[in-house]
Amino acid sequence: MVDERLRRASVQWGLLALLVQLYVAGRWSFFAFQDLATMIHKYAATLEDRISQLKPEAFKFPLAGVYISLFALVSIVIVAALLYAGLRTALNPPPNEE
Amino acid sequence: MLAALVALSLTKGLVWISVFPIWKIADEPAHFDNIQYRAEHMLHAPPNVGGAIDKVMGPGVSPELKLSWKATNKYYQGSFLANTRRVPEEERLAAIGATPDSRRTDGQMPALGYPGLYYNIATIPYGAFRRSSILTRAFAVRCLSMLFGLMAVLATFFAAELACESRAIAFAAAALVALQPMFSQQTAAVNNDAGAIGICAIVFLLQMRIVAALPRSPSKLDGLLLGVCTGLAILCKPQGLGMLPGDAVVSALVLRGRWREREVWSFIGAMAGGVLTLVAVPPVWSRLFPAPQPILHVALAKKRELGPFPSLLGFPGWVDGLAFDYKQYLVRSSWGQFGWLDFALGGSWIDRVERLASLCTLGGIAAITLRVVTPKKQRLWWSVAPTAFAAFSAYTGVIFILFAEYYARVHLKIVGVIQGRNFLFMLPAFAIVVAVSLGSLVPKRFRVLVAAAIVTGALALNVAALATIVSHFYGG
Repeated sequence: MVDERLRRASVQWGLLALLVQLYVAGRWSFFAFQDLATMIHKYAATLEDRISQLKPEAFKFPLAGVYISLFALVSIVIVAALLYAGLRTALNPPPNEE
Repeated sequence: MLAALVALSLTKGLVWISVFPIWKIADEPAHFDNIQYRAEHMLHAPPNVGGAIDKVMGPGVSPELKLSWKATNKYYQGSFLANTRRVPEEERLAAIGATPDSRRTDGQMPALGYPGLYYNIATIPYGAFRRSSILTRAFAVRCLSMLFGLMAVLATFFAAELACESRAIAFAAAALVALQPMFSQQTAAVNNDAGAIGICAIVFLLQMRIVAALPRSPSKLDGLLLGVCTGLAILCKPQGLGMLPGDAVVSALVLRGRWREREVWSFIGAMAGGVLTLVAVPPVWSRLFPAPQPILHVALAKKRELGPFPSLLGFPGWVDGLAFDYKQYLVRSSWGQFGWLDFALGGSWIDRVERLASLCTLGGIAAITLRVVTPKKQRLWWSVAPTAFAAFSAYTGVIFILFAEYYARVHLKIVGVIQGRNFLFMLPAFAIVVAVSLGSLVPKRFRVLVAAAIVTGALALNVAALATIVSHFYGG
């Protein structure tokens, strides 16, 4: 009985921590993308030029754009893989669950 | 997982290097000047003979550094050239980069006083592009810093694997390091911080390996490796001295109950020998051969500049009495105060990070403590000794850096020698404590989800920092 209550309490705490973390991450991402969207809207034509000035060729656009796309892709793949693996483990716990 | 960490660190590093305009990260010109002097002369720069050293741009720097400095301050915020990705100065810098005269410097910049390991390694990418534009050479050195950052990320992963049996949590700890905003800046800059962070992470990993293997005695080779790496950390930046308490604790743990065993003393002797040889040889060499100085000269302060060792008793009271604003500045500049410390992540964001991180960590520590004191015997998913050692290392790092400020204020009468980024050399230890603590909040089956949440949060913070940087430099 005590074990069951402890198990439920830890699940609830864990889910709460997870939700808070995801909420804060979501808010930050929202602010960041809002900032970026505003900038891109305002300086759409010039942002790539500005970032490229006074840099070696390897760090000017379009290569800088390639790095940004790769970083975004790698990040999305990592988060998606972790979420997929996480949900799978959560829904099908291994037999030696603590 | 290793491939994912490498891909994440490298792509993120290239993005951070791309978005920072040249010389727009604190002290980059000074560090570059030091590298330039070493690379061009294969010598350490001559000691300062009394003249004041300019903190930003000295009169004796190379003409190409002067020109690029002027240009970076000209094309800034609202004053970029329209409809072009190339400014006229780029052609001139490329042209003069090929002439030795334009690369000549007197080496009299603030980085003159630092130990030389990072600068000596940086002469390799510098030399590879010696006749190219200074832009290419500076960005090549930034790439070297990125590799030091990668070293720290991988060391964190391996150290975290020793502290817990969840690979997902170990991955999350390493990702926390990789995506921490100030770490991202310093490992995308021409700065010896990058070298110190990378090498200190290796020292920390070696210490964790020994602690995790206890009670098995470490070998002489383990001791030598740890000593040499500690010595290299000290030769990179004085923060390396902050690894010595960890070495001492490792030695004490190894010695515990076995002080009569010969192999234990061999380990300690090899470690001490490794540190002392590396740290003592350069000053002895420079005394034997006073001029010109070899490039690996360890430029420690002159004797008369050092005061007596300050009282340890006064230190806790001094920390307690520090102004709230100063403490807040240290926290902010360890998370996200970018460029020449002239802009930061929004204050409210930092406050949220602090509160959330503190709450979660406290919750995790409480969960860990409960598991330890609970009478029911159960197998722990994390190892007590390595996790406790990581916590010890993290807090020793903070105390060490604060003590440096205390010493500077009390005996050298200098205020503000430390910044938040100075704490980064112990970031791997912090990340492990945070990740293991958060992982302890939930049962095993939810641990991968917690790792996902940590990585998502860290990514969001990194993207937020990038948005702040792009907006600051290229908006307007």
